[in-house]
Amino acid sequence: MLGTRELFPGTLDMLILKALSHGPAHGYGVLLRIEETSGNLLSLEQGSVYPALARLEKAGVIQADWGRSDNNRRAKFYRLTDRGRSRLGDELVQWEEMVRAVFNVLDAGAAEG
Amino acid sequence: MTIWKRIWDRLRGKALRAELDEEMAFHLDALARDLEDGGMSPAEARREALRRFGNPERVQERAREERGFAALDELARNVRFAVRGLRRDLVFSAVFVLTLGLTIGLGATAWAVGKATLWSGLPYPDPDGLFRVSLVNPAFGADGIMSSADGATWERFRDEAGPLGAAVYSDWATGVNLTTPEAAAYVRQQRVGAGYFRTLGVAPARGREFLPPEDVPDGPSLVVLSHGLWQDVFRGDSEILGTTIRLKGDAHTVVGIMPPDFRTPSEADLWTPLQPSTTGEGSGTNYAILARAPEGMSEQEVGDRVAAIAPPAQWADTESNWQYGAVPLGRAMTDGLRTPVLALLGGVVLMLLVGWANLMGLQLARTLRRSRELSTRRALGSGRAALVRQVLTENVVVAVLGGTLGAGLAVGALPWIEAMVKDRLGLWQPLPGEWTLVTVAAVLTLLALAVYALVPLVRAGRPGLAMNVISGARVRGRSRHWGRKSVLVGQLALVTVLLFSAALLARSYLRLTGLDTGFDPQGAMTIQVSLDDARYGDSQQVQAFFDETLAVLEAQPGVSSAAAALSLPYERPLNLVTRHPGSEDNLLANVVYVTPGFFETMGMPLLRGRALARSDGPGTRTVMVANQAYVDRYLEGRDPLTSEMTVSGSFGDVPIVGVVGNVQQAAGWGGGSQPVSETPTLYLSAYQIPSGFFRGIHVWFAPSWIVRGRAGAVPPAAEMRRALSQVAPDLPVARTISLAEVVDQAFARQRLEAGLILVVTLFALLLAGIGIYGVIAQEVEERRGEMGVRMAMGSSPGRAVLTTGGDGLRVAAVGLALGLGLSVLAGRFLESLVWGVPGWDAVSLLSVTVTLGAAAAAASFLPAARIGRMAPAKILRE
Repeated sequence: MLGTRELFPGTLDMLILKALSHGPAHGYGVLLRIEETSGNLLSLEQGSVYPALARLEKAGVIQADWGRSDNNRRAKFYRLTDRGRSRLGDELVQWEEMVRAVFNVLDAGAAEG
Repeated sequence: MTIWKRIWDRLRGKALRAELDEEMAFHLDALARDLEDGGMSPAEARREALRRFGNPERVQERAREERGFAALDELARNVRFAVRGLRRDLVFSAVFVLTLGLTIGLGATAWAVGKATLWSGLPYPDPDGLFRVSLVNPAFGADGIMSSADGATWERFRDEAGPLGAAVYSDWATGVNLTTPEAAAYVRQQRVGAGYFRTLGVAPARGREFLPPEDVPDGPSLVVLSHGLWQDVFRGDSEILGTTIRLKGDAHTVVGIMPPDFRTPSEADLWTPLQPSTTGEGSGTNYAILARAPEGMSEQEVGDRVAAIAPPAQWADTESNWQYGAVPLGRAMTDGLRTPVLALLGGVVLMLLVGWANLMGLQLARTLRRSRELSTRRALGSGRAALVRQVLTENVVVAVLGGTLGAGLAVGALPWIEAMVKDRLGLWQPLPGEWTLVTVAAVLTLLALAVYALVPLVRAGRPGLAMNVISGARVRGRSRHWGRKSVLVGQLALVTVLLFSAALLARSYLRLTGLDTGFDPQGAMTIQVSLDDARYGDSQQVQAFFDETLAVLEAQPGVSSAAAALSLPYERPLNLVTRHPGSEDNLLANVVYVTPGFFETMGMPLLRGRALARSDGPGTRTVMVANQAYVDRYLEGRDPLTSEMTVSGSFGDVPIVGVVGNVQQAAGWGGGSQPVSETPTLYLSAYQIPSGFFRGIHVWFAPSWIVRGRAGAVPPAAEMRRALSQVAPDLPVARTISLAEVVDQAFARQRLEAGLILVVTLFALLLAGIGIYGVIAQEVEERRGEMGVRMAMGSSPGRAVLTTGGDGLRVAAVGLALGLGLSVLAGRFLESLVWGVPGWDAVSLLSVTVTLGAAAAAASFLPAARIGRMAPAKILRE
């Protein structure tokens, strides 16, 4: 299982944006979505989501509003802005390019070995 | 994120923190509940949730960083640090902030005075097109301007001005009596010719100005009111146009009202037609001529146009080269003010430099003291930029404190300054407003900041500071203070110049006040009343008025004698041309009509012959009394008591019956530029003055009554006013002032100049003293070890004190030498402001040397004396 520190830099931001692309969620909800959709392979230090959310909010790619949770408690819900949506698209493209590049390198190494 | 959003968020900092706390609490609760659902006990679930979540405090911190609060946090930290530093070193901070505040306050105030007196420009449209027509003789430099004109000159100019707009006026404002149903008031009148307002470019707000057919001798009695008088006395009554008001004892028709902000240097309450003539007052140079250039005409063209007009015969006669010239009106109005105001401003600028040099020195010393602290911080990983930011914050914090103090002082002193300089400098334009002053103070603060913060900033940013940690504070040499010492030399040179200027002005002032008055100024009250009034239009009326008022005043308890005179000593008298009978040589003389008791009441000694008597009246031959200066200057060894002189103004040949001593008069001629002098004067009896002469002269002069009390007690002004009002209830009193104050007021301007320079100088001297003291004290501190060794080796404490303190004296000597050289230049600039002392006055130079030497010695040896009290054994153990 991978912890927060094993993530590539910037990956957490992308994961959060991806999680929010399914619809608004509060901080805990974002975390659950990431853990669930990763097949529980990713287990983050949960608190680290909040500085990341603050960073993304400041960048204007997500927006926060207070709302009600399922059990009717006050919670802060985050949603993707238009800028966030296009940023997610850019990051996914970049991510795929990087992953492909890394695989190519690893494959080449395997072929020689 | 914009800076504003950041500041808003900063203000919301606490709210954001609380929001995140709530968010995290929600998260932990939800996580714990899910863990419980997975089968954990509540306590176990709570613990596990906290473990998985991480440290909430750390999350808060990182979130804060992510939101970009780091810079603001650092700023807040730096400000707190700076304030703490200021409080730790209270004496240093107080000296620093006070120096900054006082220099900035004085600087902003001086700027305000300069702005209002010299740089405001004229408050009229297109002011550059306005000129005052004067007779100019370039050969005489600044003295070669004769700005007044006679009636014939005006007529010639009017007829030959061509495209130039032209108007004639009098810039000598006089007080006149205004009677309303409620009260009698004494108001200021300026007499202006037709077209004066149009030439200036300002039309009356209501009504019209005087028309050429009205502006002729014996023309109609008209008046234009100022907005202020219209509001204050007539309560803004709009029906007043076309009605008459009672002015100078006679009905005057109101034809116009000027706009609210219209003003002239005369500060008139109302304007009456000049009605210029070529006889009477018009035969002398009593008018001023104003010219307005048409659009597009250059100053040169105006000058050529004006120069083409032939000068009056009596000026053309002389061999010298007098011709008409056009002096820009703005310059003509500030000519007399430029030197005194620039001298004051120069003094303040020098003081400012001395003060700021001190601030620079203080900061330099502080930075050196902090070298280790800064180096340690650098060694511990503080970035260079962060250190620079911190030092900058410290400097800005004191700048804000000092600047606020300075702006507060300048704004607070504004009304006081206005009252002080208004009459003495002839200030007629308003001083700048409060916010302008605050802006100027802010600009000065920035300048000061640039001066004193530069060195600390450069040092904080300099690489290689870390060396100081290793070498510690032991690397010290005498050469270390050379920078500070050269600044001190400069400061002392400036202070020397200031001290010299102050000494020069003070010596001149003391000389003026020490002049022999020629009369007894103590124990007498004076009352002034305008007789430019239809009720006192002929001799019998004036003479009856003198008889009645003098009788009433002399009957008052405590009054020993009373007299009346056209003008008082120390003030400006009338002058007339006199001649030896049959001669063509014009001999200028002051002419004063007096009532018979005048010499006795004034305490003027009768030197020869007899005084004027009541029997010298209308039916007898006109006689006069000359003063000694007249006899000395014009009678050339002849016996005055058998001499007759021709006196212009229809007096004919008048015999001299007595000679009295001289008094000081502000004649404006015959005594160089000195404010008062003993000039040739003739005294005529008020009972032998013809009606026409009274009428003409009372337009220009308001006579004064002099009342001498018994046993040296000044008769109270209120009682004298009451006595006078018994005779003439609706004649307003223009002024009541003791004779001693008359003398005092003659030098009010010189007193102001000397006083202001002295205050600025003493402040600068104090600052320089603090500067020397600081440097020597620091040196003493640093050389304790060396001195301890020396004393242990047998050097006497006295020698040690001398070595250290001598350093301060050496610096002072260099500064003094430099300053004395500059002082001679300053003296040349100040020469037109001083009398009876040369610009290189040796007494002033010597007293400056002594004063500065004593101050420097005190500032050097006070801290140095500490060495003598040290115990060498103790120092060496340290």
